[in-house]
Amino acid sequence: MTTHHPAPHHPAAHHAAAHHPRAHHPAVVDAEACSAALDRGETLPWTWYADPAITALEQERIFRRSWSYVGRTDQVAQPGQFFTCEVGGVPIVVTRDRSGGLNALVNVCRHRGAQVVREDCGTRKSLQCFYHAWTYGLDGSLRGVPRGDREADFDTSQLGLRRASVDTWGPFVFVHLDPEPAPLTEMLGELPELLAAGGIDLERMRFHHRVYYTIEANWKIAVENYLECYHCPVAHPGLADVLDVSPDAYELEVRPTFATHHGVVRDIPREAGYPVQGPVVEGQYHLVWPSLKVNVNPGQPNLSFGPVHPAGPERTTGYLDYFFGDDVDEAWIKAMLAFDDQVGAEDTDLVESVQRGASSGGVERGRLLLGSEHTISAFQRFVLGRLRED
Amino acid sequence: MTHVITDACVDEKDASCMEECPVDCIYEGGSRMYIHPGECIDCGLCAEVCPNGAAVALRLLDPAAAAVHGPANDAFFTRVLPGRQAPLGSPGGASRLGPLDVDPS
Ligand code: SF4
Ligand code: SF4
Ligand code: FES
Ligand SMILES: [Fe+2]
Repeated sequence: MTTHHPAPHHPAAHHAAAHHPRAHHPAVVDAEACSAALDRGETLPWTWYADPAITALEQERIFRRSWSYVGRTDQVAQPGQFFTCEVGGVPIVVTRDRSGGLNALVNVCRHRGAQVVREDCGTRKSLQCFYHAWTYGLDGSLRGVPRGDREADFDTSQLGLRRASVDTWGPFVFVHLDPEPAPLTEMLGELPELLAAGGIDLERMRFHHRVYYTIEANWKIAVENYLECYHCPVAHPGLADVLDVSPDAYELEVRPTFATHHGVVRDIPREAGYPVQGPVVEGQYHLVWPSLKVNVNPGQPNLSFGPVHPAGPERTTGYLDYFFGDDVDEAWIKAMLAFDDQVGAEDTDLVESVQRGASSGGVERGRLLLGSEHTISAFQRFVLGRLRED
Repeated sequence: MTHVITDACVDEKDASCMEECPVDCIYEGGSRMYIHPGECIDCGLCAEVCPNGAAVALRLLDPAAAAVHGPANDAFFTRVLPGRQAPLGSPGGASRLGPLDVDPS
């Protein structure tokens, strides 16, 4: 893993904006009571699933203080290649500079705030702002300011694009707004070992395609749905044909920085939607706090990887990057994707229904089954803990 | 102040600078490029992208070099080029003018 620490003289992007003077934000009422409710198997209050103040606080205290998956190394393999993304609502451009360095730069012009790079991805020789043509290098340093030489004491060395931290794990690029974050390895924990043990060799996985999606629901509802398989026998008949989803066979586990599910292929196979036999004998589904999904279905080596973002209190956007082993054939991929799309469509329907209930005000909170949904309590404890941090 | 192109550009002309210049003020002559001193906004992009170090800020050149390269760029626009009746003046864009196959004598 290579860490690219930003130059120390660039303060973190969030330092300027984020810290709230009070320990307890007014939106987080009764944090103690919420914590006690979680212990009893109750959920966070449903009002937290439709409140713009909570979403803003989550952006600030969760997403701006976590490593975010933003894209792949193949998108920035060559000097000059870049892609844009957002981390906690802050626009970021990731670049490969001419000396081979990987940079994550806050994509806000230091002059008057225009977005310097407006394309999703591509190749550029420099980062020139389209407003007044301030010219930054691919490493974010400010190289030219029209009429700058007419100003007294115009110090361009202090006006480079703000830097964020960037790190990689295999083909995955992560960004953190803090200039000195806790290491990415800490967030990933044992995930690399779990994937390897499950038959996924990242060196041999090839990117296949990306799927973007929007869900009309709070991001936490999308995550919480992902975190349990109590609904699988009821809502995912296709999945239940492939995996043994009974409570004794299907395992849920909470680890310090993520939750994990393991599902084994049925002993006596049912007629399944795709050929489930192969070197990958288990489905593994992980959610790394706050919102990174890592999915492996049984069968041939396959992996889908992607974040969930709040796009408003009642809207979620996300994408999944699909990877397959380098020798997996297209027919298998197509069959597996059809199965996967079906499960995804079923989940969207569930999640949007929960949002309508949550935001109706008809009921204050939900009641979890701690035997089958403790992963949700763990997630909500993580959220509550972050929201209480100043 | 402005940027200028030096004779390190002669016969190179890979034109990276022309493609990138935000105000299209880098003009193509017979053997090299010339920057229009009045149209250039001094953004520094050409210097950033030129693979040959031929595009430079005039203010960063030593006085002797500046005395050569400043006028050498200006000449393309202020002198009457071979085969023409009048100086180019300020054409308002290299793509509008197109490449010329002459240099100031
Ligand atoms: S990029 Fe440099 S060498 Fe190429 S044409 Fe422009 S000034 Fe000349
Ligand atoms: S400094 Fe900027 S405006 Fe001037 S010639 Fe170079 S690229 Fe064009
Ligand atoms: S806002 Fe970028 S140059 Fe003015
Ligand atoms: Fe589901």
